[in-house]
Amino acid sequence: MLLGLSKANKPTTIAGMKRVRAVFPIFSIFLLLSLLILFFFQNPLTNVLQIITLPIQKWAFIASTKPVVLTPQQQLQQENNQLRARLAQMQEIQKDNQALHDQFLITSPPPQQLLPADIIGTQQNALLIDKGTADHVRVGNIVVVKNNIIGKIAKSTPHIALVLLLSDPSTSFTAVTAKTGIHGIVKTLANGTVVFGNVVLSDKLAVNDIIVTKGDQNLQGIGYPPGLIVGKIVSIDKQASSLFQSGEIRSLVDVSRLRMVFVKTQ
Amino acid sequence: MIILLLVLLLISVFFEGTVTTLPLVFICLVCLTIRMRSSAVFFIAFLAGIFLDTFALRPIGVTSIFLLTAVLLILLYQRKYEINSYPFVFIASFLGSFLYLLIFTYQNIFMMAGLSAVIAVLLFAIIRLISNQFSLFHFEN
Repeated sequence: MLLGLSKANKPTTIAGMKRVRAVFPIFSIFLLLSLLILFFFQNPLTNVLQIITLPIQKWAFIASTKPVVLTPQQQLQQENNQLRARLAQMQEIQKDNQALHDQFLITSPPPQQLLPADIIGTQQNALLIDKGTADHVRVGNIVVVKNNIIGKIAKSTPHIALVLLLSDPSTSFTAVTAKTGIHGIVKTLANGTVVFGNVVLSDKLAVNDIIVTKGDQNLQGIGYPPGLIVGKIVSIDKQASSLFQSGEIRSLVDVSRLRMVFVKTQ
Repeated sequence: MIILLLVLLLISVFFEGTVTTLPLVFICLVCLTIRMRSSAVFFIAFLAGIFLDTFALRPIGVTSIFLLTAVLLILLYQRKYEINSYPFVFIASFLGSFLYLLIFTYQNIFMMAGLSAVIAVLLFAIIRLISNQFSLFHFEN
């Protein structure tokens, strides 16, 4: 007797017997239907269902998230982060000028390549946005807010796309510090902590250093463009016995408060 | 009671697809299966799975297959043993949620499965309480 439960009475009525026997045929019908949809009718059904569910998803997401009200301390923190980001940008521009690029006004990424998208849902380490392949959003496109990197498109359907955040353990790309140009790799640990690692011990990392992407794009333009802000270093792990040092990165953007992001399309 | 559970199921589909990663739909479906104990639950599980896949951007049909199988197992189990009990609700919810979170590759599986089981038991208790109060009211009248 499993779980110490009493045996159920067998159905004594004919209707009860028929009901019990009907379980397998009905289950088989719906299972077959599910398999048919899974293997043969994915795309058309996805298209139709997303058109119907997208407004509901947007409403449900807005209804379930609290409006953003910042305390004076949080406002100051946000302003501080914005100023740090602006300072990092200025330092990047200064470097480019020194490399004889001062005749170009550098904005990263260019506004004409940015597609605004509303956030319609959240998953573990991911966001759902209301733009998809119908809007030329492709897997691998980068998602930003101002010039802060938020994540990358991991899945794209006709009207909805999945944005994998930096906190996902599959994240890995090359980056540099904005001030001193120290090279390293941004990786995410299993617990969601983003670290700037593989930095040689001789380089001097400092708390509050801004980390920007180095640039990892392929010939099709897919990948991380250079100059996007990843975050700032909040703690450093440096031990003389290790080969490399690393720093924990905290993003300048609070993803939980976002309503809209921008997809860098080609 | 069944209408209440259906409304809760509908709300769960919206919230599981947009805000939370807890398997709320599975929890509601377990309670619904225990209350209804009929093959009609298969249709509800199928529909819920389809919409959940649309919201969560999974291949459409995957969640339906999982939910249909879960409902089948519960209905087969209830042929031999009593399912209208707290231990069954807790263990079925825990195991089902654990498998669900494992298959769809979520993190903190144990903790979330445990929390789901607790929520399932609470929901089952509330449904039972309301049902008893309702039966008592009808009996007195």
